Amino acid sequence: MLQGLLGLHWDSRASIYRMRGLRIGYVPQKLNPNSLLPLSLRRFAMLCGSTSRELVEKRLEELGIAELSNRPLYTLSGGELQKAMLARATSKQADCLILDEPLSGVDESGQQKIYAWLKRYSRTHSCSILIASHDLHLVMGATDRVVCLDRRIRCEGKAHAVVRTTAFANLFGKTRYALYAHDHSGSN
Amino acid sequence: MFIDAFLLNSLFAALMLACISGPLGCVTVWKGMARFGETFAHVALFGAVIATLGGILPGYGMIFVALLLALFLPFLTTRTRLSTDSLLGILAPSSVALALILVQQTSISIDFEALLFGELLATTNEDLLLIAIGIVLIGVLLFYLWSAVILDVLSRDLALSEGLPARLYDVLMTAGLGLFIALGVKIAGLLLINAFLVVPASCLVILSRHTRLAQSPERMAIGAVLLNCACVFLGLFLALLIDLPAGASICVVLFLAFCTISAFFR
Repeated sequence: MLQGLLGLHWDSRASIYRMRGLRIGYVPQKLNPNSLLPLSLRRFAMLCGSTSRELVEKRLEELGIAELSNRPLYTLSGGELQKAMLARATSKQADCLILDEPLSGVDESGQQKIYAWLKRYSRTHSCSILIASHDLHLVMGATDRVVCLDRRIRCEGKAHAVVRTTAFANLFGKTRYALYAHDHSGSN
Repeated sequence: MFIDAFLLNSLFAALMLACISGPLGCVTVWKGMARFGETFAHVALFGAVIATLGGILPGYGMIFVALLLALFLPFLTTRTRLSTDSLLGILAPSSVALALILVQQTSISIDFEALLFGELLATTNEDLLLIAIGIVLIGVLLFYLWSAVILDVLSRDLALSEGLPARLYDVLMTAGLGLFIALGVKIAGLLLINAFLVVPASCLVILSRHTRLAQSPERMAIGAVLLNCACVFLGLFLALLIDLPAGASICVVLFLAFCTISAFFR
């Protein structure tokens, strides 16, 4: 579905309407950096697109990877690469971010910090964020609207309402999820 | 004076090819396209035969066939659903075989040895001009596509999601590579032209893991240009000093550079 939204794959049965000139920041599930290409983290974050060095440095700092900025991408761990892609996507002043399992490889406390950072980013930059994730605890705690997919849309709505639906219970059982308190003025 | 002019021509031709093959070779190595160079060179032989049969200069036939291959390769890959590597493996021997049959069945004469080993010391002013035009075209292409190609090497999905026409760029880069091979084969020969592309870029990959001097795509490309040029000077000097074939001499110097770098840096 995300690939369809991004225009990477086209399904003739689907219709996608995209605002003209919409800038999308994308974080794929995984990046396998080419070990023959000596590209530093900073250069990667600045590659192709309108961004400034200051903004990139700020994002790297906020995501806690500033000290790695001169390291070649192929020497970074999985979690560091995910943060690098997030820094790149958020440095480009996108209108919308599409994140596919964005924090796989990042430890749990790091994930919570980054979800909180993404929430702040969404509000301060009026940027919508679409996250695909299998991590229900984090999704339920950090998002404003949840859509559960199992070949088709099974249930959707605000997190606290979705967990009470029968469709949700049929899909995931009756596990209790941590629903962190958050206001709903943002657009993610 | 006559000999000096030809020597200068061959030096300029080799240096121009060495300069453009620095960045072009880096892209070739990053994208895993080393086999492309070899196949283009083989297909170019077929182009030379066709052009000679049609009564035009072999060089133009080589350029035409190489560009045709660049345009049709993505189509062939989609249609046959075979890997590019397999298709290149099919096209390279087939085109040489066809070229040989055509030469044997017709009365034309093609100096295959010259195409394999080049005629560096017989570079004419017209050759120099043709190479210069081609190199400017390839240089402009590389300059405009450089960042996009690097992003595409890292992740095709990232490049496409950011609106870059990565598939079109692929065709353009392949066409640039085809043009370079077609221009270089007559002068440098099939052997040297591929060595120019792959050997210095591979040396710089090894160096980039050990020294900050080669730790960026641009530094790698500049390093490959410098290494190529140094090997051209040394190779030509040795060729003159001990009467060696010029193209083969540069090729061996490049190989020795690779051996030295891979021995000292692991």
